[in-house]
Amino acid sequence: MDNKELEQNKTVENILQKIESGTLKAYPKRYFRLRIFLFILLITIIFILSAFLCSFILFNVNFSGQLSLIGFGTRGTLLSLKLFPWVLFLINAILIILAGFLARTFRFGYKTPVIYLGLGVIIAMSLAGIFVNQITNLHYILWQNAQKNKLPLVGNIYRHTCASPLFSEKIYRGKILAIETDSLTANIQSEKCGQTSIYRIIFNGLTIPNETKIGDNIFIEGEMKNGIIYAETIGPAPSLPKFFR
Amino acid sequence: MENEENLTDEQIALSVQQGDKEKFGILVKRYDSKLSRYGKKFLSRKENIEDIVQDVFINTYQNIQSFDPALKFSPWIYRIAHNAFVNGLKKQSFLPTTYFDFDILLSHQIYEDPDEKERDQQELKKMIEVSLDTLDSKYKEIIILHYLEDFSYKEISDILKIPTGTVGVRIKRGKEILKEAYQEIEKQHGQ
Repeated sequence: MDNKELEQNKTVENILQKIESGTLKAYPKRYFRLRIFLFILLITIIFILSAFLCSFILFNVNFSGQLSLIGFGTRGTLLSLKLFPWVLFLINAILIILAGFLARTFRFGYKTPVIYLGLGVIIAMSLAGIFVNQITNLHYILWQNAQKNKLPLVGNIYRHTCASPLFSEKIYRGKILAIETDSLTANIQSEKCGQTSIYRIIFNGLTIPNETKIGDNIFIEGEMKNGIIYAETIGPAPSLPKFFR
Repeated sequence: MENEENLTDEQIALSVQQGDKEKFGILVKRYDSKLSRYGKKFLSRKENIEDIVQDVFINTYQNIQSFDPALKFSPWIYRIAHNAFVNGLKKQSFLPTTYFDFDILLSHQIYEDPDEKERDQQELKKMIEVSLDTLDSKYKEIIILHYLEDFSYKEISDILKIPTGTVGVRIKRGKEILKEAYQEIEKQHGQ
């Protein structure tokens, strides 16, 4: 028996002795099952949380009308970027990175290049967010509860989802109710969340575009004095969210 | 004894899972010198390799119930050894605590050619002996696993938990660096 073999036997004896004496024990199968269960639970919670945040961001931009501002010139685009809920977006990005990192513990996770895995996670979470918004009225119900102070914990973020942060920026969104020679009457998205009010819009030297018709959704930029909007710019807008009264 | 020698690693691991603790000794015997050799190539300071290898076996036994006998045992134990040696490197301060490699970002189409490996093995043997320590640890470990420990790209992918394409890219890059380093050393010896 050479030195190497002697040393090897010593290692084997050492390990077996530890096993025999009970100082070295194997973790039971249920320990690993519990670990996998907790791991999957954690990923599921992160996924649900991220899908919720994703759907809330979509609800928020749709509800406040900020996304549709992108089509309203450079100022509208910059305004839209300014009003975007970046903090929630950042929190969601962190959750997506965490979910991707956790997924790399599984075989399919580390076998897939990081960029595909990341894209997969982003697409899955965004689709889940869109699905929540399209199929359910979850956020609108939560938003209503928040207005009545019946929503603890997350009530604040709903209360801040104001229907028209654009008011302070002198940009208004609404639907045309009547057309006269130099003015319009429109149902304008109110400063108060989720409501609309009827306003008269006067065009200062501007001509109303020929193709304008009753029922069109519009953006108007201008001064508001004594319940009248003095329009400086007018442009098409997407329709108001379905929840508006 | 002859029977034991005919048993595969996976069969032995299954027996240990089912309560035949003595059989773990066979696995220790089979992997002791392999893991020590891997550790000696991997780590720069060689003095505590036996202790690290012993820790690898302790870890292996503790986690044996998490091993899936339908998969190969060797990549599984090498994964445990890899983690232990990386921790050893960190203690020796040769590696940052955390690092991110950009080569795991994208997909790389790599075809593993066994004939190429055989040709390379002849050519690289001397280069590995002379200039392996000049390689960055991420190339070094992959060259060791492929050319010295004889693991396939897929097995290395499981040991290192990186995409198979990245394994191919690192082997290719590692070989190039190794050749450059070897030529440099040869040149210096020639002068």
